[in-house]
Amino acid sequence: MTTSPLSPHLQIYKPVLPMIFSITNRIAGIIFAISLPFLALWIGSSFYAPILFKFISSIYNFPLIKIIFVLWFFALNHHLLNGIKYFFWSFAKGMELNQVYLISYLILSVNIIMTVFFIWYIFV
Amino acid sequence: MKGSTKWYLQRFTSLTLVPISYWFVIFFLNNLNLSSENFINSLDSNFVKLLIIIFFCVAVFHTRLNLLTIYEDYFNDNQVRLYSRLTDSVLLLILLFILPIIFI
Repeated sequence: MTTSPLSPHLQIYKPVLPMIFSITNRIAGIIFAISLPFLALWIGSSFYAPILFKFISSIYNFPLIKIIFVLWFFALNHHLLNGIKYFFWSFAKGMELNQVYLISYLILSVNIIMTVFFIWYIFV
Repeated sequence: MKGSTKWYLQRFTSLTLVPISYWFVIFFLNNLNLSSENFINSLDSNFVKLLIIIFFCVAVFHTRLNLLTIYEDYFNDNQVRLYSRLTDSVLLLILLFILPIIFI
């Protein structure tokens, strides 16, 4: 399928902020991909099997699971905000080093603020 | 698939997913503690159904494109083949579960 060489493994790099944002963006994407079947199960079961839906929705409303959803939202939001950044990078916009750092901190702050709103909404 | 086609598809799907994912999060928060009857009632609008189906179809496509890229980056050919088959089956199941909401 592919003859290209594998990526060098992460531990050989000295961690810097843009690299941390890049790898966490991938990890966040994978987390969201893993959550997709659970979301599909929740929506689909309302139609296929109301008993299963009741069971799933009682699990999803369990406070401990809600904490997982908060982390899920944090990861999703990180992936979406970073995705916007990479979209601009595709057109070579915002690639100056100071801009890269500024945008990274901005992404983190916006994400924290939005996650606080999410926590407020999901628990109240 | 040509590299440039893949590149355009990745950008196109991610751009579509940004607004629709935020809509989905709001939908999720509003419907999390509904009973199944109320939940089905909230799905009883063509606009909501359309958005959910677009969200899942585009998300599944975006996931497939980008997970394969990740597999190709970190695993050897045999692993890539195995993992991509597993991914495809799970993604197909997701679509099979979601698409029937058209009939609600």
